[in-house]
Amino acid sequence: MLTKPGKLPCSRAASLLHMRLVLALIAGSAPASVLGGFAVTTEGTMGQPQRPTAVSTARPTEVQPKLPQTIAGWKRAGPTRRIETAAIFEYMDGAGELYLSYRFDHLEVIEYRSDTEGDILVELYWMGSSDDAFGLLSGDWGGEAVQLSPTAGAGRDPFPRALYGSGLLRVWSDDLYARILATRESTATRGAVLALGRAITEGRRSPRPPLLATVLPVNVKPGLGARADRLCFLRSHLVLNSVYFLSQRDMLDLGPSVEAVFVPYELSPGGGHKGTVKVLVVRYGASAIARQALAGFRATYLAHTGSEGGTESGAERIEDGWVAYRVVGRSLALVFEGPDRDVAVALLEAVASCLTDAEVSNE
Amino acid sequence: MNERRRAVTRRDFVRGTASAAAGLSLFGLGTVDGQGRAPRSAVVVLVRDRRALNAVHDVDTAVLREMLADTVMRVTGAATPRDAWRSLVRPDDVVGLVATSHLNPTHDEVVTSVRSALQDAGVSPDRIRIAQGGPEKAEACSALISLPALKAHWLTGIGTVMKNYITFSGHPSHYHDENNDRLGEIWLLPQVKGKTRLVLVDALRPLCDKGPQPDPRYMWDYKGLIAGTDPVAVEAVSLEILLAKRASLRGEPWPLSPPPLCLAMADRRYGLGTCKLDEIRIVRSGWDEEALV
Repeated sequence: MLTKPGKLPCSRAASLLHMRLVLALIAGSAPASVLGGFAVTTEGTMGQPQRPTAVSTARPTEVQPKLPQTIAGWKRAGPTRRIETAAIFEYMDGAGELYLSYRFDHLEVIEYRSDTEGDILVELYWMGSSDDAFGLLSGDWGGEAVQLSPTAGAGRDPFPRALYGSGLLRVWSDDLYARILATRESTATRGAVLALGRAITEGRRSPRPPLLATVLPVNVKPGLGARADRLCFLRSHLVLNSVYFLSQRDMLDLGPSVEAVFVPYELSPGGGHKGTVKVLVVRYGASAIARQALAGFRATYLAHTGSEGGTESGAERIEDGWVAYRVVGRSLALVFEGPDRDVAVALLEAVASCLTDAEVSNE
Repeated sequence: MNERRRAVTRRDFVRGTASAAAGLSLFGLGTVDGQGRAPRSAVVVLVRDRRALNAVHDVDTAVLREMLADTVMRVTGAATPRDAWRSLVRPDDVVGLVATSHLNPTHDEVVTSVRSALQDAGVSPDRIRIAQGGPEKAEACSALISLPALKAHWLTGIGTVMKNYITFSGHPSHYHDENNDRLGEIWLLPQVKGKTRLVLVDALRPLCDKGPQPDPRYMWDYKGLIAGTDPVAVEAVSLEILLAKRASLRGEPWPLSPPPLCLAMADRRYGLGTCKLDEIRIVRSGWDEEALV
């Protein structure tokens, strides 16, 4: 059994990095070396939109994206289509579950046509919060990070706000997640797609990433570092299973009111191990719910292990390595696939310590 | 549908007891469960042509029709395309073409080419229908040609052959979430059972991650058709291609998540065919560069 939950000292390296991140977030200037230290390309102003027209169906309190009628060789084809929750499966079949797994409000679809360059599809997913839109982007950090606004989050963003690849631009802009997809990729389509991205984000707020996505340690100890490019913020076990299959059934009481983050930590061969150790942190509405979720997890996933763990923390060996767990305030921290007990527990303690700091500074 | 089954967990896969938990074999994890079942065999035909798509991914219909003819002859062993189609359907059949309708859909050219080939084989145009839709669509047909597009699916791992009939159930939502491993049972519904004469996967430009929404970073010009009469075997070969492409993109194994339980279940629980690669003979034709399987 592990030590009782409570505030544990971070390892020196983890602590320093964590403190840098927390301080930077408070000051609005997160250093690039913390979780999500991506290289970002600042785009020029080519292809500025003409004759902007507001998307009329946005909620009144939001800055409405001003999408042009024409852009370079493309023209808008038809009015904006609005897709409500009930109709999302008609629009995209099972893909709709992804958006419903976050707090989806509605979708707006705008199409642009060109006689020679193919079509551009703009999808604006209006979400319940900025965190939800961030979560959708965090499903895949691949692609080229681009900065659509010269000021939005400049110099303080631990994560990109827009990613471009092969004709697809994905954007997190406050409570809006946008996908802008060109059917063909060329220099011209890239310019138009990025210009549309700028039009969508212009004047909109740039809230920070979810706290949970920024408080975890980067380097726990030499040879064990976070893969920020694989971090996923989620609320649903369906999304969890799409990044790390745990069970067909939700064992952790995930849902819209819960926030969670999954991050793999890479083991360097120099440390005697290789592969990744996985961390999942779930933050509930109350500590009692976190304890209840742990009890359910132990009863299902850790059944028949001859458990040595306690009700709030523990570590157990299963088929693919060591699982370690701890309730920290409202959060449940889980470590999977630890190569040995020491690594699993060290990672858990580093995570727990950072969570404790975050709980204190947040409350 | 309503009984409470034990959920398959990651631990079941790792320790090799997933089949005991759910009656399945273990895809992508280097384990195959074949206990208690007589060896089976299936043939899956893979035809590729590097001319099938141009630089902007448009289909060359003439090349596609050559590929289609080659494919059905190899599936059936017939000497001509016309004989091949006649061995699959009769002129008095009502033939339903079941294509993926949207989100990385089956290429229109594939559907059109199959329709044309059927007519050439003697099936009158009024007896060939687009059958994707509710159960009544399947009920109205005496023969089905399944024409799914090859794609990964974020809820089911793979969203190709087994998933192509989901709307025939009349209750697609019953097969979401943890129940997606039951997709195979749709193939045993009265309006569907025994009607599928050919499974022809459009692998011209597959999607190996983030499906079903198209993401061009994970789409590539494979320029292939994958076909057979065993739907599970066709899906198994399709899955291998997706996995191989994913591994090549990352430079390391990149399993589908969640694992494609629906495929293994189609074999072990529903008996629709074999998902064991050592029971499947792959017949290849045409372009073999980066065939991935």
